[in-house]
Amino acid sequence: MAEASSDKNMIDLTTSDNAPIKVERKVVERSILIKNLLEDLAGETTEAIPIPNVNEAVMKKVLEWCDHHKDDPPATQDDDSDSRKKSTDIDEWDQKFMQVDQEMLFEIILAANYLDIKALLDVGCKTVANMIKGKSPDEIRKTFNIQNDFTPEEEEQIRRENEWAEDR
Amino acid sequence: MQRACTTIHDLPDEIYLQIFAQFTHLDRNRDLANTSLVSKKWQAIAQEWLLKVPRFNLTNIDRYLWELGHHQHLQPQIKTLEIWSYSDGRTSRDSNNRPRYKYTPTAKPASWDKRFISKCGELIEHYASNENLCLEWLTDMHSDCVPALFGILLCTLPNLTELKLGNAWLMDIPLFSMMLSPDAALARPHPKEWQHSYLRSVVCKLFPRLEVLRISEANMHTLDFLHNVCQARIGGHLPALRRIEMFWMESVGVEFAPYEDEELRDLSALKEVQEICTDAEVEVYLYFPPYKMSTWEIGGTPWQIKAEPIVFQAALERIAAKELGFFWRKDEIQYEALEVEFDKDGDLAMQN
Repeated sequence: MAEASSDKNMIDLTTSDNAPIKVERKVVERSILIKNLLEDLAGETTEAIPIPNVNEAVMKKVLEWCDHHKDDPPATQDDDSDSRKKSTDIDEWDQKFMQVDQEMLFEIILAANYLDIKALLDVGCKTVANMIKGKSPDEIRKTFNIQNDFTPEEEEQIRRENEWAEDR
Repeated sequence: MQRACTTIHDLPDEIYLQIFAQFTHLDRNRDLANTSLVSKKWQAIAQEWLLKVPRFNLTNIDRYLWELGHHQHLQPQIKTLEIWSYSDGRTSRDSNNRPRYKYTPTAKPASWDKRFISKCGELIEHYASNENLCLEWLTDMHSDCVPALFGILLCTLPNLTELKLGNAWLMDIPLFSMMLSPDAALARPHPKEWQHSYLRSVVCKLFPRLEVLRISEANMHTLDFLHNVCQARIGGHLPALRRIEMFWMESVGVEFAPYEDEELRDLSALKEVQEICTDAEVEVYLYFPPYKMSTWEIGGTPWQIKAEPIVFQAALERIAAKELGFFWRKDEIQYEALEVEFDKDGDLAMQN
């Protein structure tokens, strides 16, 4: 009986690069997309669930996060007005988890968005926000390898538009 | 299958919005302004955030209105408005240590764009509830422009629910006082210069929606104001109001000690606050700093600074140094900060 229930609690996934992944149901249910899917299937399927937008490396990383956070209380549905209080503080484990190269960082953000894992998406966005904080426009461009597509006149115009927000 | 390397350029707009929404810290305006200069794509999103959650100095209200006028679709999305203002050097104290206010109207700056003036005129004509008020409002645009512009701003924000203002506002524009019961208005009459009758119809539209009110640089005079607001709520004028926060300018010692009156000295004024707010079923939060603390000295409004522990500690040390002189020692600091919160039933929710 123990075996049967543990089997039922394991979910098979197939990533975009056709890699099979076996994962505990509780862990993968951090993804609202997969949770809803599993609820719709109601245990009817034995086939692996395809995750066409996420490759194996990224999926494993995402699941590592889900595993660490599997006992967190479920995300509340309060709209962003109240959670606006949030600062760019990230807990220590998450900070370490997010110490990855930029490609992986953006892949994680895209995966979290696609899989609907709000808390992970939040951590990703905070990480990017922290990379922007305190930097000049030029330093930001260098950080993310962005081309400056403004003429000097346009830059001047934007500076004027932002004047109202100066000094605190 | 070879995939192109994923970069920040692959993020959809809604994720950019979510990233920029993380900027809630003290230097948020500066960071968003810098962000808007990165590229055209970033500019649109960063400027949207700057305008949508406005925080600005009172002296920039005209520039903010001008920019907001160019992004009218954002106006219904604005729910909170934070304006900081200096009351430094504008208050003196009478023999009872009560602040005495002087009102100085600000004339229209010569630098205003003609289109701005005519647009403001149009808005005033649209929003004024009758011809006399319209005339008064238009006159103020020239001779006393701050309340005139503030009135226009409030009219253009139909979904505003949170007001975060410096105490200077209360002396410049006692907008809350005018809704009071006639008794309260008689008991605490305001100087003639404070009367901006046209604001009455403006606040009548705002008050039913207002949920949160925050005041910085509060002082004993603000208690009268609190009294008035609560009476207005009891009278049914502020049905949505659930929370008032007051960040006092001076420490408890300075605010209460000079009073001859025992009652005030032993802090029963706090009890009064509690009773007033309980009657009105509003939760109230009070913060008294250990030493004089003002937005313009600590580099941001106290509620923003408090949200950032390291910055807050540095600010406390700065104001202590100012108070205790250059050679102050850490062990000399008497942190007499007082933080009290009562819930809407009047129960003590927090005390530090």
